[in-house]
Amino acid sequence: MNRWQYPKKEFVYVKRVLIKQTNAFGNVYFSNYLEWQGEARESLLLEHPNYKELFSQSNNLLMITHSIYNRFIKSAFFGMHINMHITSSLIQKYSFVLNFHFFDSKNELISAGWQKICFFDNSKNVFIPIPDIVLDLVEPIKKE
Amino acid sequence: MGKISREEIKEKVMELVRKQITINRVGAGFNVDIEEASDLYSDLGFDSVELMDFVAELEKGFCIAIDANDFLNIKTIKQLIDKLDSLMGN
Repeated sequence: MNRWQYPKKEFVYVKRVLIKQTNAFGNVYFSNYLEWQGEARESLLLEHPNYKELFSQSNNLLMITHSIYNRFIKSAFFGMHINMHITSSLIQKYSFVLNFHFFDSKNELISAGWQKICFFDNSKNVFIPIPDIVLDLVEPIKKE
Repeated sequence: MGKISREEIKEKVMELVRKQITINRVGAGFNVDIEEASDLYSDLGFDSVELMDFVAELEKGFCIAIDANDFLNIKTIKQLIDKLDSLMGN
């Protein structure tokens, strides 16, 4: 039986900037990009038909954000649509990287970042290899 | 993989360490001199999950099975090479 795999080469997540996400100067406040990375990552996980297995309380599995980075290229403002393109890279046995590229409606890059993610078994207190459910999502979107 | 000398093990380890520390420091750039005395953690910036990934690469690189727990007490490149030397039956 073939395993399900994400059917596209990248994942796109769209946000619209709200007033509460802007600062005193009208720009999107920097911390929102980190929050949006998190939202986009969760949305990617939800794409898997069996995503609930990953988050079952009984499997003692923790998904850990090992490190995170974001750089800010252009300003974004209230009302703008931001298209987040997610790809993966550096897929090793115990960790992988998700890359985030934020584009405005003119397809200009406004921000970029990445996260390194690993998995931990809370009951055995050990790092574990990337679960198959996650590999099903990140391998197809690997940046060549 | 046939019997290999400590010198060959060292060369392969240095190559894999250079590759891994580039991966460890994603996007940030990382330029460091690697010597046998280099500490994996304080000099080369490894942490526990990066060591696990590195052990998986050592398994592939040397075509041997390694118990990652055997490497938890290893701190330096020299200790790493000596451990692999002993695992390879030298």
